[in-house]
Amino acid sequence: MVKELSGDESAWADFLISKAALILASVVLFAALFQLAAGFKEVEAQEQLDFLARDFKTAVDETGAGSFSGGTQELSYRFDENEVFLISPFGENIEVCVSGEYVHLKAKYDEKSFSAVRPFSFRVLPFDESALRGKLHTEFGTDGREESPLRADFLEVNNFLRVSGTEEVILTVNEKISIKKEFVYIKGSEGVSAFGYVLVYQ
Amino acid sequence: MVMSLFINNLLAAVRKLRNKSGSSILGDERGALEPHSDLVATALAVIGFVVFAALLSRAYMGYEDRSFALENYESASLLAGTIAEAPDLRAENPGKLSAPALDKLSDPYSRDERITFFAPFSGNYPFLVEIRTGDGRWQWLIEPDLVEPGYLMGKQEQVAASVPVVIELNAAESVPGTLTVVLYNTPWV
Repeated sequence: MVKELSGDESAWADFLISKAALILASVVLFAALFQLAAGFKEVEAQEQLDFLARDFKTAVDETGAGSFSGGTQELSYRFDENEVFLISPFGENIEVCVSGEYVHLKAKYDEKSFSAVRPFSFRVLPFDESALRGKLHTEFGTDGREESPLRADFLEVNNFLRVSGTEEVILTVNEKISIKKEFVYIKGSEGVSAFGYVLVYQ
Repeated sequence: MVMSLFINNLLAAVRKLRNKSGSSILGDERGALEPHSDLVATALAVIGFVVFAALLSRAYMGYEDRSFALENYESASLLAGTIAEAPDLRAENPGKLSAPALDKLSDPYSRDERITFFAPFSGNYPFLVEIRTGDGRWQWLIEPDLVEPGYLMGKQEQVAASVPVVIELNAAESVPGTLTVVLYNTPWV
C-alpha cells in the first residue's frame, strides 16, 4: 500500500488536499473579514452614542459656564435635531438618564447593549425650578431666591442639593429638554452670595 | 530576418514539447502542472489581512490612549474661559484679574474662599488653576481642597488649556499673562 502510494506520481491526492486547504483558508479569511466589518459597525454605533452623550454634556456645560453672577440662562436641547442621532442605527430606542453628576445614554442595536456616560463639569440638578425652590423651602424655610435668600451654610445647602440630585431621571429623546442655569442665594456673614446650578428637565 | 528565425525556432520547440507529452494538458497526470500560485496568493491575502487588522487595532488603541486629551480639551478650555471671568478674581477694572484676589485664593489658609471659588464646578473633573504673568515674575496656583495637597501634581494623565488674561498688580501696573486650567484624569472621567 505504502509502496503503491509512493510510486504514484499522479498528484491527485496533493491536488485535492491543497484545494481543500485553500477552500478552508478562504472560508476562514472571509469569516474574519465579515467579523471585522461587523465589529466596525459596533464600534461606529458606540462612537455615535459617545458623540451624543458628549454633545449633550457640552450643551449643559456651556449653560453652566454662562452668566456667572446672576440672571438666568436657558436653552432647549433636542436629540432628534442632531444629525448624528438621525443617522445612528438606534433610532428612538435611546434612553437618556440624567443625574446631578452625569448623563447616561443607553441603547440597543442588533441585540447588543450600548452605553455612554459623560460627567458634567458644573453642578447639575435633574429637576425644574419649582421643584428646586420647593425642596429648598421644605428643608431651609425659604426658597433661596434673591429676595428670600437661605440662611444656612453653603456646604450644608450644597450637600442637600447634591443628595437630592443623585437619582437618575429618564428623559425622552424626541421631546425638548430644557437646560437652565438658576442661582441659589445664601446669606452669610459677608452678605448674600449667589451659587449657580444647572437644571436639566423635560 | 533575425526576428523571423527566432519565431520559427520557438514554434518548433513548442511543437516538439506537445508531441513529447503525447496528449492534452488534461491528460497529463504527472503533477508537473499542479499550480502552487494559488497557495502563494492565499498566503499573501492572509498576511495582508493580518497586517491590516493589526494596523487597525493599533490605530484604535492609539486613539483610545489619547481620547482623554481629545475629549477633555474642550472642557478644560471652557473652564479656563469661565474662570477668567469669575467674579472672585475680577479686579475693579473690568476685564482684569486682581493680584490681591489671586494672592488670597492661592494662600493655603484661605480654605473658605477656595470652597466658594470652586463651588460652581461639579468636582467630577479635578483641576487646578495656574496664573502667571507673561514675564514670569509672578505665579499663582489655586488647587481645590477636595484633594490632598500635591495630589494634582502627580503623574496622572492631564490636559491643559490656557487663555490670555491681564493681571492688575496694583492700581498703577497691569501686566499681560496666562490663565491655565490643568484637568486631571480620574477613573470616572
